Amino acid sequence: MRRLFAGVVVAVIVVIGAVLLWPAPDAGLVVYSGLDYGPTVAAAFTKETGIKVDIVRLSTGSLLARIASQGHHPAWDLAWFDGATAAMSLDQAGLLAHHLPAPTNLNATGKTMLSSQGAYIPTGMTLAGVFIYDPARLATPPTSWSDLTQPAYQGQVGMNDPSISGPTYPMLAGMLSNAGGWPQGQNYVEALKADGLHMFDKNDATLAALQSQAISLAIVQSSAAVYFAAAHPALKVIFPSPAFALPNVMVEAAGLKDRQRADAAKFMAFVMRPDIQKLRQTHGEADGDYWPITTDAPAPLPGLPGLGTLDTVTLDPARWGGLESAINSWFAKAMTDS
Amino acid sequence: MSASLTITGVSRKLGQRLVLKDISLTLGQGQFLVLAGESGSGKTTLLRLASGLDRADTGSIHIHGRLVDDAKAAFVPADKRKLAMVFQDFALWPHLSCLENVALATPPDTANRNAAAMALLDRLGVAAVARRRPAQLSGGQQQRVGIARALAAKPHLLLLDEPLSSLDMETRIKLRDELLETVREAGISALLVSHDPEDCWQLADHVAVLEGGVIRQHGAPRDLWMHPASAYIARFTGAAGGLSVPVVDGALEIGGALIRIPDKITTPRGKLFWRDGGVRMSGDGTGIAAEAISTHFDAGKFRVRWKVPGLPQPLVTFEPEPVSTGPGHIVINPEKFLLFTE
Amino acid sequence: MSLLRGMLLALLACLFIYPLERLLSLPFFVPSPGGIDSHAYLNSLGLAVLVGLIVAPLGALFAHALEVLKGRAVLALGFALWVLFLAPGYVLTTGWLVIFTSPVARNSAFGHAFLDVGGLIFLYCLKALPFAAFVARATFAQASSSLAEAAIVLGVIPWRRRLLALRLALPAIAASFTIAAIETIQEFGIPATLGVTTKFPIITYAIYQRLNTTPTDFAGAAALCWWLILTAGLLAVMQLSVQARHQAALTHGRARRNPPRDCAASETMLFGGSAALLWLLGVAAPMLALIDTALSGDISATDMLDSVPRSLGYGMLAASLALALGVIVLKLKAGRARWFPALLQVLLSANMAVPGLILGAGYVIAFNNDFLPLYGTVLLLIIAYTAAALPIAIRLMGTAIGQLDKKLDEAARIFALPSFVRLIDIEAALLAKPGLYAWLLVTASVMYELPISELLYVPGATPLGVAIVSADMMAEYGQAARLALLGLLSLGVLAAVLSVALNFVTRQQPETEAVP
Repeated sequence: MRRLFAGVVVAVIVVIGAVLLWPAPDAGLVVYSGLDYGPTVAAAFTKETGIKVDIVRLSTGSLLARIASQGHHPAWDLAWFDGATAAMSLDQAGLLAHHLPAPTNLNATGKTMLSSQGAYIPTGMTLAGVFIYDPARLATPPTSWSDLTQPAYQGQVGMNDPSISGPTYPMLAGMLSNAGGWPQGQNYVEALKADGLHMFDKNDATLAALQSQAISLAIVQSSAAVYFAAAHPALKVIFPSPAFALPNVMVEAAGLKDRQRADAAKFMAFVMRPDIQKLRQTHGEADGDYWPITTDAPAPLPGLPGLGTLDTVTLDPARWGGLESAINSWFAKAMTDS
Repeated sequence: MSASLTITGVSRKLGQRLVLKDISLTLGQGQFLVLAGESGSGKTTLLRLASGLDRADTGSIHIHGRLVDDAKAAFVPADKRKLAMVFQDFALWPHLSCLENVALATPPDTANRNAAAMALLDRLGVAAVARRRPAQLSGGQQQRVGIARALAAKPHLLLLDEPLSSLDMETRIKLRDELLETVREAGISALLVSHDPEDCWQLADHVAVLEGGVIRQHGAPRDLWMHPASAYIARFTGAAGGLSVPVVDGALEIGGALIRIPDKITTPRGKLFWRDGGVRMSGDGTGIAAEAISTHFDAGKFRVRWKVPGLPQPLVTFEPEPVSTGPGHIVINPEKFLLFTE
Repeated sequence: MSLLRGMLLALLACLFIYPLERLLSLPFFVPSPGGIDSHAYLNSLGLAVLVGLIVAPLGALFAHALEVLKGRAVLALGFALWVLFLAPGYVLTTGWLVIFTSPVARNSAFGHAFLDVGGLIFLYCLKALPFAAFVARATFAQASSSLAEAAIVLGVIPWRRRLLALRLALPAIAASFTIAAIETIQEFGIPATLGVTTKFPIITYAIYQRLNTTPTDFAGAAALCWWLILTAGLLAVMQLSVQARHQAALTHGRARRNPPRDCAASETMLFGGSAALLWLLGVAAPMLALIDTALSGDISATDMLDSVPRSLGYGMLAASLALALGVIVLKLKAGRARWFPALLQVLLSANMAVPGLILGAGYVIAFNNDFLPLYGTVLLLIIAYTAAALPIAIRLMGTAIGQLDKKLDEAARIFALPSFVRLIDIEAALLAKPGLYAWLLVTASVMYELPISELLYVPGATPLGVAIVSADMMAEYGQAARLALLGLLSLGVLAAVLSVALNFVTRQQPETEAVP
């Protein structure tokens, strides 16, 4: 009996080990997706082309950190996330392939988002930071970034931590740029901090704080704000002037084999097809609330104003991508110094 | 016929301490050898070397003519030496029943191991508790199971590590008899480690006494009694005394008198022992003047303590009647004296 | 045997020394782009000392009660400490965060305090208390009761007796302080979940951020690791010196111990009250909050459910490997070579000063090259879990083996039992119960392990800890609670099944057929 038991225990452990450690069969194209619609799009792609896609859903922050940690031994082929600045950071570290096939039929906005070396392709656009607020607690909302420093909003405003939330750095960069650039814009951020700016991990946590009335106004990515407001009609969204464009981009790991490159190119073209963009809008949860940037694309979802009605600014990703490390370190220090 | 166990020039160091120094010892076929010595004398280390639980640093060990350890390449591990061992604290496997303990030690080629084990338990009078676990048994019963387990292994050589020392007196006396009887009946050689003189008298064909890592004396119990080679052996074999006395020109100085004795030593002081009758009270006022300082009843006699001028400790005699304290005399029989270098 | 020892040492070097060397040498060669800010370190050190000061006397008091008293109050206290010991810090934190999702609770004074440094201190204290109590208990367990009795018999007046008792308890209090401080400064799950690190940086989280958020800064993380390791080392040295100076007072000669006595009324009140408070704040409140939020909301929408069986599998596999390796280490340690145990002791004690976070960071750097391209694989994650669990596995198995009379194994060898029988019927059977508890403990700790999981998990195969914390970060507390509770449930089922099976296997045969 003892021996039988010992045998069974050993067998179970060996089976668990085998299941966990068994080398995965060729996974096909490995796509890291920071966007909610990634899995749906990948499934549609495999169904249509027969090319296998291993889609790995990660938050944008961990996705970027993973790619940076893997360095020149990438376990990924394509990555899809919000933020051209982040893509430029990766490119400056030499981790990205160049000369990616640019999407066809880009509209004017889309064309402004192209990378000069083809290190990334834009696949759509959101805004890095918009205001979502509770009218019951805040009668007159701010409409511009400079409004935020008014006494009425002291202690009422919350935002994400740029070191955790991937799409928040572009918003911070936008704030600094709007307040005079780097390093001149520091005064503005320091003033916000002095006014009692709250900080939370990510979009969802900042929105949860708004809901639990810890704050009255949240600065979050436009897609998160619009999606959340749709579910909580008591809350209102303001698109500040100016609003900073946050392209969602796709990048390819440097050094892929030809066959993988060809498959990757097919995937990049696939995601821009009008029918697939419809799929992205309808199966993307919050990320579905994006502005398409091709001429043949479906209209943005209701709840998103026309881009023409907004005052949007596109930051230079090369310049601000290179400053990310310095700005994030400064920001962390500025927010914790009392 | 080769000896059961031959140890030749064995040494063993534990840490910085040389625990065994150049030990040589032979145990004849079918003999019972008691290995005696004080705590820390190296008895257990020697037993572990013989059993193969430890390896010698120098020298060699043969069991039944087969080299089992030469302190170099040759080493036969414990499980290949065809030994059995009885432990001081029994070492019965607590998660197994007594029967399983014995059956597990029975050689695998035995026809019906359970029946053989049961027969041995029956032989030692513990068959009734065969299905119980060791913790449910008394110490004596556990050691009976321990002996049954050892015999079950059908060993060529039986090692016993103070097997009786953790038992009460009554059980010890009983089990000692049974042990001897069983071992003789099985016809196996046995090496028993002990510091109890009774084991030496009642069990041993030969006794080897270890002192400070060397064998101080090896012989029949009678030889040890007649000619103890050290103070410890004298005490171990029942000599009284242990006094430190001055030695002048090879004679002892006790109470101002010089006493010539057969044993000769050259040091200025010696350790004095005597066998029964070596020192007693003088009834007629002759002998050495001494002062009786106390009298106590002691197992049918009276223990009298004497203060003798020139001796640092009191001297003790056993008298048939109580002695009143105060001045008196003692007489000495040098023939019964044993003197050792201090 | 020395070949085996050499191989084992090479393995341990590969598991510990090589990755740590790669990580910790970084600051000497590569400048940190972000620069080193002592803020996080000073905050953590301050908290560690504060928590140590709060917890040490309490830990020693509870430990003393557990050693010398019996009764329901003490039993409840001991049990509460065990539950707190086993509860992962971030699960506890999640429970409390759920409580403060209600606007009323959140906006109360208590809520403001909790969601600030106050919450950190509170949770750190809860988590450090069992460590402090268990370490102090080990010190008291060696104490002879004759010391206190001598004071009574010799008529020492009560207040002098109390002073004497305090003096005797000093080594225990010092040990409590050190372990509480070390545990606090190394704790990762609580700061990672409570999210006050934006206002109040904590060193472990600062290290993690440099490693796992963009832009990554390994050199800066390594520099902070040095601070963490040196502090833990310094605290440990302090404790050893106090221990060495005062231990003699506690254990002299042969320690004799009295059986535990019943509590006096005041003691019942004190320890019963303490137990109730610990149960309420440490177990009931967060657990009920977790259960409540787990059952509300859309249960069917629970994401990442696969992380529960995955982490259970990781835990079972890593625990088996760690215990097997631990037993091999202990076997080889018991041999004749004296250099080996000494070297091993140094290696494993040093490893205690290195939390999983630092080990994981070392693995990221050390195993991401052309020769050892293991980063991003399950294999590396399992190896890291095993390495991190090895010291505790050795400790647990060492205690189990140490409690066994080694003559039992010697008897098996002398009686020439076949090695298979010896392994299964003697050694494994004797070690089965303590081995099972050790295995379950290690399985549970790996299953809920956080820092290594965060740094090394395979994208797309999220472990439980990462799933729970990322749900927390998105304020999806229902999801986090369901995952945490499902994990607990699966561990409970596993423990129950294995205990029953083991009891069945090791049960005593009925005595009826005893007569031959």
